[in-house]
Amino acid sequence: MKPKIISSAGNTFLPDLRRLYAYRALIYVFAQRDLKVQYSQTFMGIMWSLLQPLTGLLIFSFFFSYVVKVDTGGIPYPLFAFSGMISWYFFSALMAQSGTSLMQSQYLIRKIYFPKLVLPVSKALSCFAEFGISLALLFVIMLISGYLPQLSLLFLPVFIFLNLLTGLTVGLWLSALTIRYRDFHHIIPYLLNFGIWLTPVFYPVTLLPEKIKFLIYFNPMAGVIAGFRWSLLGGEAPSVHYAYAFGLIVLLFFGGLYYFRRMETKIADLV
Amino acid sequence: MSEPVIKATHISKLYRLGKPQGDTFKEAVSLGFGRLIGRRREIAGNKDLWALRDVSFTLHKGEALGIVGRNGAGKSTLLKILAEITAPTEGHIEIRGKVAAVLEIGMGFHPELNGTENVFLSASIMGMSNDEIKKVYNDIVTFSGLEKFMDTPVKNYSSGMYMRLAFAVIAHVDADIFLFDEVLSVGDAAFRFKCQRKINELVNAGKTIILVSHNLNDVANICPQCLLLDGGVVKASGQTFGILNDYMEASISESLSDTQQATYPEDKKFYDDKNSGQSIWERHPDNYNKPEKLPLPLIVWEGDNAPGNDLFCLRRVQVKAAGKELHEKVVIEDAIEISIAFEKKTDDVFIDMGFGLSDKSGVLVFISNTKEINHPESHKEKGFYESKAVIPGNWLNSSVYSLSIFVAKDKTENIMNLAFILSFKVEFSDAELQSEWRKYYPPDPGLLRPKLQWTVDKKQ
Repeated sequence: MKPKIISSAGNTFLPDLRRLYAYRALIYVFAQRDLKVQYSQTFMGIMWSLLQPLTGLLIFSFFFSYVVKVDTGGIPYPLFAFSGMISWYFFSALMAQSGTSLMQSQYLIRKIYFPKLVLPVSKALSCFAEFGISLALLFVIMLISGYLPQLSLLFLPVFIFLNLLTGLTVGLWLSALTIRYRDFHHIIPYLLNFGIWLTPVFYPVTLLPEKIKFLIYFNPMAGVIAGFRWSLLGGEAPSVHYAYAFGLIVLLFFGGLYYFRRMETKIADLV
Repeated sequence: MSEPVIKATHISKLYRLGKPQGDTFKEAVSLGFGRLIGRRREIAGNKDLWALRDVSFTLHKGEALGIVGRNGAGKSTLLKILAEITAPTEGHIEIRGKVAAVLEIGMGFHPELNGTENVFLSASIMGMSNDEIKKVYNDIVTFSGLEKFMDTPVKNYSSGMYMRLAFAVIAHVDADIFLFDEVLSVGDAAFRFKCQRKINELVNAGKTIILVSHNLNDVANICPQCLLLDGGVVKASGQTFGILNDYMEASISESLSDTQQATYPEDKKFYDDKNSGQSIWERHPDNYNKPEKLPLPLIVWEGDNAPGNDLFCLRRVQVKAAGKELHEKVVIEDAIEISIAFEKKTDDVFIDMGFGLSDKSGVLVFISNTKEINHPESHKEKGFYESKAVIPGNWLNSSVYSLSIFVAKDKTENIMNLAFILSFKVEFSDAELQSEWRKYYPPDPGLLRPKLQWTVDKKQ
């Protein structure tokens, strides 16, 4: 029998994905725990996860289609905004929750071994479940307003995947960095509060002046939301310029995995 | 012999004490910048601590190893390295088989979730797959005896129920190697016995066990072999009985050398608490920051500060070997004489003296008092009395014992307790130390070492 070796050096360059797979039950159980705990003893249960985007929708619909009229290319404003918002909330919830997942579970990390990647990945799963419910609601609203899915809907899984990847990448970096530098814990609210305005969630990209429009291509979430809207509601396909941002996210994802792996062996001594 | 299940080679672990370098982003940036321009900076207050130094051992299938040592000896660090919670700084370990580390009972339990959900959560954290958990789920519930409460959130459990469920999960984890850290020291006695029996079963089923414990007796009951750590270094390894005695000897001689230096009245005495106006037996607040010292085997009170009330006051408590002088050492063979002298201040009650004998860690061995005596009427009178008891020889083991004094009025009403006011040491006699069998067998552990009447008859 081949022995398992424990030594000072980390054994692999990237996190051991076989071990992560062996612990897949834990990913599922953690995600289930988070959802159950969050909505236990509430009457509305998981329906609460819809309330935040719906409230936002009401407020922004009032401002952007009644007070200030913005041109959304023929798409009704509530649909336009809601499709952007559920994508953004998926990203922001995933980033915030996976970003704090290691700090939140330090009591476990100090007491037992498990692949630490289980923590951010389980957050991705629980956030994805909440996202799924919002998405179902969006489909209902679409059908009511007479929007039938088009062929571009086939691309929706691609953009959902990119949405997940972006959130998880930022979350991976934040969670690993927070272990060493607590400063990053305080960065999360900034990303949440300002990010939503730096991303065309409530307004169309066309609203931006030509001079600074190119800046939006550095924001992968702008690409995700553009693609998300296009595959659901049709209209103009997202610009190919977003490919750079997506490429960057893929690189950052693997970089994040590497950094996470390096921190993983030190976590128990640092938290 | 087959390949070892655990082979640890030269394990060391370094912790950096004090403020770690580059702990905040600002420091990391300035540190990185300093390196860039070739300036090295020494941060004051950084000390290195080797929590473990060059620890090696091998363990085969079906063996049970105890790890003992004082606080800070490196026991838990070693276990955390074996459990992969933290990485060693040097050395490496080969492990063959699945490891289950139990560093805490109820690992991962969430108060908001119900029993079933927590079973799945806790078992998954221990590395079990969903199918494996489903297979043993019914056994876990039956073992815990909590069938009716599996739908109740564990925040509504009593602590006993919580422990039972948590332990039921641990007992059904399928692994080859089990690591236990002080788990036996929690819960009530029945729970501890259950834990010990379960661990014994695991050993008999061919599992490999490592048990870290403060309680030397737990280790002695379960692990035939043990490893004594001190300051991160292996002090001794081998047969548990022998090592436990060395360990006890070492800690006894250490506490005794403290005793000899103790200047009694400064260190611990009665003082009047200003708030309550009561006389309290405690260390004087001025002495809180001084190291605690063991009391002497003799206390004499002369002035008004003697413990007592308007019925009586204590004058002298002493422990010595019967027929010997106070300064002579007490050996196992000696009968031990305990005398309590007191002054009776009134004529209308009987005063009964008693004492409780405890071991080093405060476990009560027995209590005894004069309630058995039929006091003649004359014992009601004022005056000086001495109550004396004798513990037979060949009864206590070689160890340090401490004495608490209990005072009762008219055999019924307990009027004063003085906890652990006095301690004494029982030693091996020179005759035993030089005897033939001592060369081959380590002395027996345990709180008592009575000489029992053994008979051996050949029946067939």
